[in-house]
Amino acid sequence: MISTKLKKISEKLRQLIFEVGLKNDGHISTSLSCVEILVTLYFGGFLNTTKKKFKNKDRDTFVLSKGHAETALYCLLFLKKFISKNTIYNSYNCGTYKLGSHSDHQVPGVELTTGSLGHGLGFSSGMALAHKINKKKYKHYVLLGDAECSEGSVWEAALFASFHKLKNLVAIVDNNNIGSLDYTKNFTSLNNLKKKWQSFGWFVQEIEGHSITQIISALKKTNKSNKPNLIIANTIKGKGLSIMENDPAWHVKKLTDKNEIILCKKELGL
Amino acid sequence: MQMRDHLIEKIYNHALKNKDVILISNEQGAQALDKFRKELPTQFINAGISEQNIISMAAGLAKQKKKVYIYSIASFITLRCFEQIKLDINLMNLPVTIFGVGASYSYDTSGPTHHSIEDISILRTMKNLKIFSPSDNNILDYMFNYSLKSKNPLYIRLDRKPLDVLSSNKFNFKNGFRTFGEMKSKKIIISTGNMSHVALEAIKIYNRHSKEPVCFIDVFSTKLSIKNFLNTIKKAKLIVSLEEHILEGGLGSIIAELLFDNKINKKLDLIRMGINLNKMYTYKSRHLIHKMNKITPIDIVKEISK
Repeated sequence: MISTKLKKISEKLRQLIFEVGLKNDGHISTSLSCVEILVTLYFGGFLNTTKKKFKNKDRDTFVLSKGHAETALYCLLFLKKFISKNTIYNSYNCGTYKLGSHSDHQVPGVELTTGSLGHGLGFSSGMALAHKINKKKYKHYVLLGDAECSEGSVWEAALFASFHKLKNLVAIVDNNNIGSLDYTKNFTSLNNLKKKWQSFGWFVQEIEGHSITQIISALKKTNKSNKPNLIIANTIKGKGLSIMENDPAWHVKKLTDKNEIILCKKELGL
Repeated sequence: MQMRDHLIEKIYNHALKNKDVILISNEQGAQALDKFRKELPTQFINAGISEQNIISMAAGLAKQKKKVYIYSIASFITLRCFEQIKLDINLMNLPVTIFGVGASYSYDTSGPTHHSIEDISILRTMKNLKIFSPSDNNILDYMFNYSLKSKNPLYIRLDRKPLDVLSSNKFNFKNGFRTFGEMKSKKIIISTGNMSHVALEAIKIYNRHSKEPVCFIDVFSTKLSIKNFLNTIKKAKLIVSLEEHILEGGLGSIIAELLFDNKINKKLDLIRMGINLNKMYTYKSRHLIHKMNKITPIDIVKEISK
């Protein structure tokens, strides 16, 4: 039942990402690969936070370490009532400052300003450690890109979280196999990602990242782990739009062709 | 007592009363740290050699209201993790206090990897980060007390070697500088950190032969009270700035910017004495480095005698 509900919200979020991104040149393709992950965290009962609770320190947190998926996060925060309809439709990436083209901590619901990669895991480790010291059971979720795992700071944080047994830390890698320019296999060695993280002392699960059932199951399993948790979510960049799916060009390419726009709208049910 | 031990002792005494105090080190030891590690193990983190993660992780701790201090060698905890400082603690404006040991050429013969002679220039670019450069343990006490209440990130650059107390007189910490003697002379030396001790040596030599004593200002913060600073130097015709730091963006630059931006258009000469870029990378002793860059007491006397 819950997965049916989350599937519908995912469809809505995809439509929003497309509408908002098309209007103001957002990061559409990279946002589409993490839709189900975000929806499950925020609407699946995992992330214990609301706009009202956001200023409290005692709550769950989510950090979008791949800060270039801000289109997805901002649209999701609109659905969660952190951001108004007027703001998401009229103040995104149009120079009014309210919402820029990377994740900004001044936006309600955003923990950390990101956009430069390799910051989120360390920051979330610090928050997780603080709650561990205080013997609080809140969880700290962080979403990384797979190409982001080229950053050395990611592995510094991985060692740190492992040593401190931060079982309240859940990192999810949006493993869409594409960086901003090319397929990851063409420029770095991210193969055997599961073994790499396991060797750093993490509890690692690998799932199909667009399957809500699998995301729910993996997130539930993190409750039983005694190690920091990593979920490798195998996803498709541009998921839901046939012209964008698994094509590196769409990381920055603008959608301008009328026929392509019509096709995208049709595929999204708009 | 070394500045780092003096400060760690202060943090330790406060940590005994406040369980939210966390001290992070990247494998750096210190005499005073041994007691802290032994008696307050849950409040000490040896985060290993991982400066980038240390800053990001410290920001996360501070976001959760922990009172975080980071202890490291100055050059490592400023340059390696510059972006983490910029974004995770400065932009987020989280009250993390970084104290870096080895300001300027404290680690003289250890070479360029351990020198911190450009930290003021680069960290001055941070809006929320306050930079402190103490010249003795007395002023360091003010900085520590300030850190307890500060809502901003701080960077305190500590000399590695023990520095004598220059003065125990009270002063207005908010000014960012302290003066020695009455500011009546037309000639003023302005310095920071360990060079304030060199400046005082130079003044002693100069005053033996001069009818008009030279005045002295010890700058300990890069954010000065502009009004009070300009009022203090209003009689000056010659200012000599002195620093064991590159001239580009350091103390001399700060003063030059202040004078220019505030249109101090009377005839006022500013001589900037510091580290020349062509001579910055070296393994020489501090004494020889001073000679090489012409910032010895004798060199200073020559400049203010012109």
